[in-house]
Amino acid sequence: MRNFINIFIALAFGFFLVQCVSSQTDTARTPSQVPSASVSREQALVSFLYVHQIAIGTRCTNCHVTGERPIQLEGLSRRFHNMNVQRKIVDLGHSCQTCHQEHNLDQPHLPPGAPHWGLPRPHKAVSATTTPRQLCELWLDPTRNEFETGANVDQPRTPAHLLEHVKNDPLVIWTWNPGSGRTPSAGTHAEFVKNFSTWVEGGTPCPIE
Amino acid sequence: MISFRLNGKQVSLDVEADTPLLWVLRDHLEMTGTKYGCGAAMCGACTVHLDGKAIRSCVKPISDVAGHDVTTIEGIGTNQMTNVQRAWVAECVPQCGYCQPGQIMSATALLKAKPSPTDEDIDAAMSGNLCRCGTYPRIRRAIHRAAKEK
Repeated sequence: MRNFINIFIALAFGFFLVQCVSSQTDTARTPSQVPSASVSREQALVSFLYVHQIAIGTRCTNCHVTGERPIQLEGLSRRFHNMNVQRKIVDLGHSCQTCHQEHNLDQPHLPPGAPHWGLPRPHKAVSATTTPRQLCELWLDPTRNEFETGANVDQPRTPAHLLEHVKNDPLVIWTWNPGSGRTPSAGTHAEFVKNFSTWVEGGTPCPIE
Repeated sequence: MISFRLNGKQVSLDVEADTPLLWVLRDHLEMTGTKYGCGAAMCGACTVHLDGKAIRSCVKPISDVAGHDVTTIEGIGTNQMTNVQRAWVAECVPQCGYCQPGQIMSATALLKAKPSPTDEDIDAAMSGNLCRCGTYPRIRRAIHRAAKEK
């Protein structure tokens, strides 16, 4: 009987270990601690998959559009931006700042705001169906990852520049604080930056798919 | 104290930093040509120019205006009517008229940026200015007329 109990305990412990490993595999998409000096390709890829999940979320894809019109709202209500807002209004005496401020406003149902609110260039489009491979290639393509403002406008970004973008750009940071009634990006900005940094330190490998 | 240029003149006021520009214009400076419609940047009645670009003054905190140039409906055509205003009269655009200051400010910004807009350009630039009387066809005709008269 005692042997049976010991075997049962051993099996249960083994099962527990397997569950832990499986669980770690699932949550490995959000690795918390990666030594910066020794980031393996595998670690970098896992971190990229985490970053990809955030980048194809609503908060990014509403404005990273291929077409002329940004997307508004979320879920079943997701649709083109009200007021027939189009990319070309910036050439027509208007801009996104006609309504969007540099910060969120206190009252509900007012336009959200962050500095340099606007549409990224169409070749930087990302959607919910963008694969990790496609996103990786987009970010590393010097013909598609250029600065759009500042002293380096139109110059390609290095991985370090990309990291700087996701780390400090107030519009990126805003996605975790989008204001009342809007779903923030998943996780935290710190977690996102940590994973992005791991991907960069690991040599910016691209997933196969 | 917040200072900015309003219709070419320097103004300074002691108001809360988050006071909307529209409130400052109407309540503090008694410039009531700019209208309150929705208070949420969704109708365009409060449109003014900030450094030449159309903005909705009902959601623009006055602190963001400091040091900039603001133009209201009172600030255009002060000596003689502009081509936009003349076209508005010629086409009999207004019905009730409430939204028209905002419409004219948006149209003026549009024509300044693109002197000969297409119908699609007009739709893109003016769709944020609502008119419950439905004067949209006349607004479009007036913008085309103003473009020809420039």
